[in-house]
Order: sequence, then C-alpha cells, then structure tokens
Amino acid sequence: MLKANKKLPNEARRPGRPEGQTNLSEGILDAAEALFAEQGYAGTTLRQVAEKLGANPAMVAYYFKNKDNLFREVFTRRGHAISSDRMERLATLKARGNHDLRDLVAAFIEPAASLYHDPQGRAFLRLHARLHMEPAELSFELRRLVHNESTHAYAKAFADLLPEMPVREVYQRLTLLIGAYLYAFSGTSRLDELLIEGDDDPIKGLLESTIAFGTAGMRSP
Amino acid sequence: MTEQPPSSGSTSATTGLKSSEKAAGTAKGRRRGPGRPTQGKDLRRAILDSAGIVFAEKGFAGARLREIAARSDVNQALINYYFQSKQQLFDQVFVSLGKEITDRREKLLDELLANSKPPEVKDLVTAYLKPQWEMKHSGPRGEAFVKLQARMHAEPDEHAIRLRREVYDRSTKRYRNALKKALPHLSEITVGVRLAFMIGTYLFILNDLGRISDLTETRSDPVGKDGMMENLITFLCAGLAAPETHAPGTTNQS
Repeated sequence: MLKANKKLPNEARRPGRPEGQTNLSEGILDAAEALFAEQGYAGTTLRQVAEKLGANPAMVAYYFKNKDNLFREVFTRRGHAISSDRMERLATLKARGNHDLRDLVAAFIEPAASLYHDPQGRAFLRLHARLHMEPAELSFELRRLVHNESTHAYAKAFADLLPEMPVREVYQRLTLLIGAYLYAFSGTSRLDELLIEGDDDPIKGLLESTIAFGTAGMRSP
Repeated sequence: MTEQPPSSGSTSATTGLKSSEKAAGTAKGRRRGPGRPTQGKDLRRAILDSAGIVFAEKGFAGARLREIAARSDVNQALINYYFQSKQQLFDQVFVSLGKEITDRREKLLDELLANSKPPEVKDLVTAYLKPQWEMKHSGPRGEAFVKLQARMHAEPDEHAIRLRREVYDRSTKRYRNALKKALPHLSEITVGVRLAFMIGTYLFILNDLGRISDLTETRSDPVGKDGMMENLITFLCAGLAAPETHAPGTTNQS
C-alpha cells in the first residue's frame, strides 16, 4: 500500500533531499502532535494526519514509516528540547552557586511551562499529560529516553539541598511536582476559569503559583 | 457510601446498584428465563460494571456495545433497552461511580465539620483523597473507574466537562470553602488554584503508580501503598499552605 509513488509530488521522487523536506516533516509532526493530543495514540491514524495537512498518506509514511515511529518522533522532538533546556538551566545555577529550592523548581518547570504560550506547544503538554493512557511499552520507553538524564540530575540537585530527606522520597516528591505542573499546564484543568477572573497575566500568574506550590511541597519535611 | 443524594433521574442508577447489591445474594445461581424481571437490577449493574471496564480500556470512541454485551453476558438489545445509547451508558457509568466518591467525600467532610475543632488542612486533604484510594483498591470495577476518570480529565470536551461538573463540583466547592477557612492568609482565587494543583497531582499519582518505581529504579516495593500516600499528603499540605504569590485581582475582596 506504500507503492503509491505515482501520487507523490514530483520532487519527492527525485534523488537527493527535496527542498521542502524540513518544512514538510515539521508540518507532519505538528499535525500529528495536535491529533495525538486530542485523540490519543489508538484513536489517531496516519490518514488523519495526512488529511489535516492536505497531504497524501503515503507522504507521511514516506517520512515517518508508521504510527509508532511517528509518535516517537513527536514526543522526542519536544521532549529532548525540554530536557536539554533543563540541563542548561541546572548548569547555569550550579555555575552561579548558592541556588535554593525555588530556583531548582523554577528551572525544572519553566522549560515545559513555556510551551503553554502557543497552541502547538500546548498540544504537546496535553499529549504528555495523557501519556499514562497510551500503550505502556511506548510511553515508558519514551519517558525514560527523554527524561531520565535530567530527572536524575535534578533529583541529585534536590537531594543536595535536602540532606535530611531519603533519596527515594526526593524522587517521589519530584514526581509529585511533575504531576502538579502537567495538569496545570495541560489546559484540561479548568484552571483558566479561575485565573482569568483575577489576573492581568494569567500564564505568569499560573507559573508563579505552580512554583510556589511545588517549592513548598518539595521543602516540607 | 450508603447515603445517596435526593435522586434526580441520573442517580437512579446508583440507587439501583445498592438494592441490587442486597438482592445479589438471593438471586445467585439462578438462570435467566425469558424476559428479565427479577434480575433486572443485577443485569443493569452487570452491564454498568462491564461497561466501566471496557470504556476504561478503549475510551469512549473505541468501546463497542457488542463487547460490553459479551462481557456482561447479555444481549446487546438489552443494553439498548436499559441505556438507549452508548453515550447514555457512558454517562451512567461515570456518574454513578463518581457519585460514590463524592458522596463519601462529603460524608467525611461532614464528620470533620461536626467536630468542635475546625478541620486543619491535613484533615481536609486526607478526607478528600481517601475515597479515591478506596475506589482504586476496591477491585476491577474501582480500578476501571479510576482509569475512566483519568480519561475524563485528559479529554475534556464540552460533554466531559459538563459531567465532571455534575459529579464533582458540589463536593469540591465545599472543600474549597473549608480550605479557605483553614488558610486565612490566602485569597479565594489562590485556594481555588491550589486545589486544582492538588487534583492534578493526585490524579497523576493515582494513574501513574507503577511509573514511580520506573523512575526511581528501585522496584522493590509497589508504590501506592501508604508510603506514597503519606508523602503525597505532606507535599500537598505544604503546597496548599505556601505563602500567597498571587496579587489579588480587582474582583477579589481580600
């Protein structure tokens, strides 16, 4: 069924990389991100992704082989970006010295929270927040792949500031922190309703509130 | 869990559940004849339970009435007879199980408020969470509901939001008011926002229990037992009580 090469636009069949490749593959990832966020892995088909773009399904398959692979690419694209942003911020804090819990919480949350500013980024947060409903083999592996390094680095940094707390508990708290911000920023929490009432800059307010909540939660003996 | 709010159409499903629980003993072992008179409530409940499991696994779109019928060992026509449509079946499953949680939540709150001493944050958080954990550990039916609930929070279309409101709003507002009293340094908006963090955090933990051990690499003890519960409560209480960060807006009178 992937032999429908005749239907591909001409340039895709020429040798070498087509000019528009980056844009097209990014476009496919954007479309898939939105659909996976809305409908989940099982509910989304390559055909729908193609339709959303007005492209041929064979084109999607040409770039991303299959749904499993497409989902992985969607997740790792932003996941790696968040993770390396976290690592950079951590390095900056360490270089500067004398950071406190709040700095760590902010550095951990902000790279993900900043995605909230545009609809496409919000789609990723939503996809992330519903990851627990996706096939376990996919979600476990992707999380580990994307987040392990930064999670361990932050757990260590938190543990340094919380010498009394058993390491296992530090990890648990960090997980709680992830839960708190994911829901807040996934756009599914009805928080908007609460925030809009009393705030000029709801997103900034939300971030501040999350950091305060998370910092107190991490600190508590 | 034995007390039901005044019935309002949609809660008749829950009242049906209770009496069928009692009837289950006597009806046990009998075969169904033609028609369905005496065991109607049993069957209705069996359908709701199976539907909960199937909806939890497949989501609304992926669930098939045929599969629900097969699992509950009834004819598909009977499902249509009782519930008219897949949507109505789904709503009944969600509302009836959800109300079990919120009724229990309100009962625990009533008990706290009946004390001479006003409840503290920790009392309120514990009372709010407890029914969820009880549900989660109550067997396949409860586990299915917890998954369903997670879906309802991750896939918030208009309809899901309406159902969520119907099920949760009353008890959540009561907790919000009680929390506001326990946290006089916070504005009402801030209490509301923090309550939403609390809900997000516990849902994440509730859905993701297996994954914490995945993250920590120490797979020794299954999380979700009291260790994590304690830690969750500590985290949430501190988070709820954190100093005010939110400049109160114009609409807010504190």
